[in-house]
Amino acid sequence: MSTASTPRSTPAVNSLRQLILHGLLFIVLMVLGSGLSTLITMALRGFVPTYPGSSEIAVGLSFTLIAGPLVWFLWGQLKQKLPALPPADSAIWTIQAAAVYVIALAMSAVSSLRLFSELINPTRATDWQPTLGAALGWGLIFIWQYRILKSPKYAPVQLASLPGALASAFALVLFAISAVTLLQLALVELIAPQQTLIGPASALPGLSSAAVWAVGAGVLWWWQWIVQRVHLKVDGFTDFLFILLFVAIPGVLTLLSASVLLGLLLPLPGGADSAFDELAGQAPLLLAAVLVGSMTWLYHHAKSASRPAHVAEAARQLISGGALAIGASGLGMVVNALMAGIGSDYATAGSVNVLRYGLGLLVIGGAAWVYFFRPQRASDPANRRIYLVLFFGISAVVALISLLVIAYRVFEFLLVSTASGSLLDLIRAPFGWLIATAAVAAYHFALWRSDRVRLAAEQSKTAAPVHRPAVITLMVVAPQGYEPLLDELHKLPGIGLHWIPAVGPMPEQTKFSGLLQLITARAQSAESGLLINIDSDGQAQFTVLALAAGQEFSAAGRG
Amino acid sequence: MTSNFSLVRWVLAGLGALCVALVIAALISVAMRPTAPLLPPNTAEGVIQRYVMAVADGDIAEAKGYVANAEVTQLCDAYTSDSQDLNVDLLGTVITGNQAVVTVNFVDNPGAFDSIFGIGSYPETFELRKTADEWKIELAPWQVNLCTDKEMIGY
Repeated sequence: MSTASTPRSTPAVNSLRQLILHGLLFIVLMVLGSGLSTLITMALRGFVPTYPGSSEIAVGLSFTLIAGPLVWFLWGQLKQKLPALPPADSAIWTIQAAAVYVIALAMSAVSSLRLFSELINPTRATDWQPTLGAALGWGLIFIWQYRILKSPKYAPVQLASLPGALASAFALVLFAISAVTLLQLALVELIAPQQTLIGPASALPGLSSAAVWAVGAGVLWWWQWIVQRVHLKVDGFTDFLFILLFVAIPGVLTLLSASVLLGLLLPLPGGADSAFDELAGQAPLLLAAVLVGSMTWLYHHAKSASRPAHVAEAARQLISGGALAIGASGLGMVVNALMAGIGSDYATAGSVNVLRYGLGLLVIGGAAWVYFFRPQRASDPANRRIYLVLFFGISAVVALISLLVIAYRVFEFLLVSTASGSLLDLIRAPFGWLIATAAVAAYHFALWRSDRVRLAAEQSKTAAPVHRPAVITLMVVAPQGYEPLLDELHKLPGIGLHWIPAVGPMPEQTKFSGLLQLITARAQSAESGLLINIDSDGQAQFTVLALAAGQEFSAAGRG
Repeated sequence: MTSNFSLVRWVLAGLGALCVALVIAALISVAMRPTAPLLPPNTAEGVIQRYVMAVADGDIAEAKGYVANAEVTQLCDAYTSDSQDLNVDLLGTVITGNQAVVTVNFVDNPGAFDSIFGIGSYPETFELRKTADEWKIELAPWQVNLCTDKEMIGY
């Protein structure tokens, strides 16, 4: 659009124009997708309104007829300039394309899977036309966008891996949820099937439709991750998604599910009659989450060998942080249960449960932390500085909240007469948190101190004269005739020389060598600039100058 | 952690095979299960079974026979009579003397993700009292509850 008529549009205006045009294209594509879906649904129904006065046909027609030509027009305008866009504008195009790609993929995939699962498991009161319509309508948008992204002419240049990475992430999450559901239903059937009073064996339709979801989502993930070769792409964004979504989150979820499962299975006395019901109710979901989570985690962990070393290191630190949080929560809960045991003569179901889950969290979280953090082995202190600093921040917040709750409970106990029970009972939960946080923070504080000492020792070894700026400024105030001395000074390395001529008699040449030695010695040991005032007698007076801003080039050595 | 990919591959294959085996075993166990047998009429569960089936068939006269209050005449919520194919699972029975509390699950449209999000199944309780070796329903869940004419005034 910025042809000869607008020759002087600035880059900012151009970017804004791209932002608005791509935003419009995104919106009309979304409108077109839903319009097409509605229209196809109505076509499948033979254009018979679902109920008298239904507006579906009007909505479908208007959305399609307005948005379709607009998409054609906007895309015609935008595509001519795509190959020659500056980087920032090109990134706008990538983000828009990725958003359309992922949304269209999600809508069409979920609709098709729903369609298939409902074909297997026909339910009352839903019909197949809307799901087929949505699958086809959004499928058309997806195919269009897919062809654009694959065409060599329009394929994004900036953040080129964004659409594929986001689509793989969506497919993986969908697959994980479907697989967990399927396994949960299967385990419920195997562990504790419900006795049917009336009606068909109710698990079969649910089981088969969950199987359709899991298989379909698995195929989608395989297509996105393997066939589209996203798993071979190594760049910043893919690595980030890989660390966070594919390794760390499955890992932490697996550990959490395993901890709760262990807590459920612990043979502690004092469980109520409902213990088995509770076990049967929760164990299938937890076991399914452990199975699926550990498979996802293992697969991506093995895959991370083909990525840069910092990817595996960052994933390891994230998982060890999660494991530590799990273990510390468990420690807090165990302390809480211990205080409940001191404070009361009877074990209640509540305190037994706190002990049960606390032990589960403590055992699994602690073991995973020892395995992943490797406290017994020396590690590179530079690697874990951010980890430690983050940890102090989180510990401080948890400790502050625990202290606030304890203080509130104490004052409530002292001031409000209606407060019942013992003070110990009131503060045991936040006290447990506080103890766990303090223990964890103390350990990490010691670690941080020793890391700092080691870092400082390493730095002082590598770079000894850390206190000097790169260039020492010498301001020489001297009468005319000192040019030979100034020439000599000029030859010294790392010296910025400024000469301010002063009024005075010509100097004696014999004094130059002594002056040169004196000034050289001062200049080489100086930490900052020097003002050298040479008076008429040939005596030098030195004034040390302050460092200018930005001159401290090696400040790290000072801390 | 030096990743030994061939070992990981074997572990992954084993876990995957375990999952597939679990699903197949569950499918077989569900398919092999017989349809719900009619329980003896002198048990609380048997009474509930007959009562709910009568309500689902719209046979109020038959259903009245299982209710303690003889004055009931109709379903409290007329819309539930639409659901002809009720699906009810037994969760548990607690009998104390001549009182019984039976917990059941009304399963509605079992979709794929219902079990994870906890929708599509509604736990409800029946309360029964035993008089002369016969269980009578004192309190039924709203889906199948019967009301007297007096209670329905104003609807």
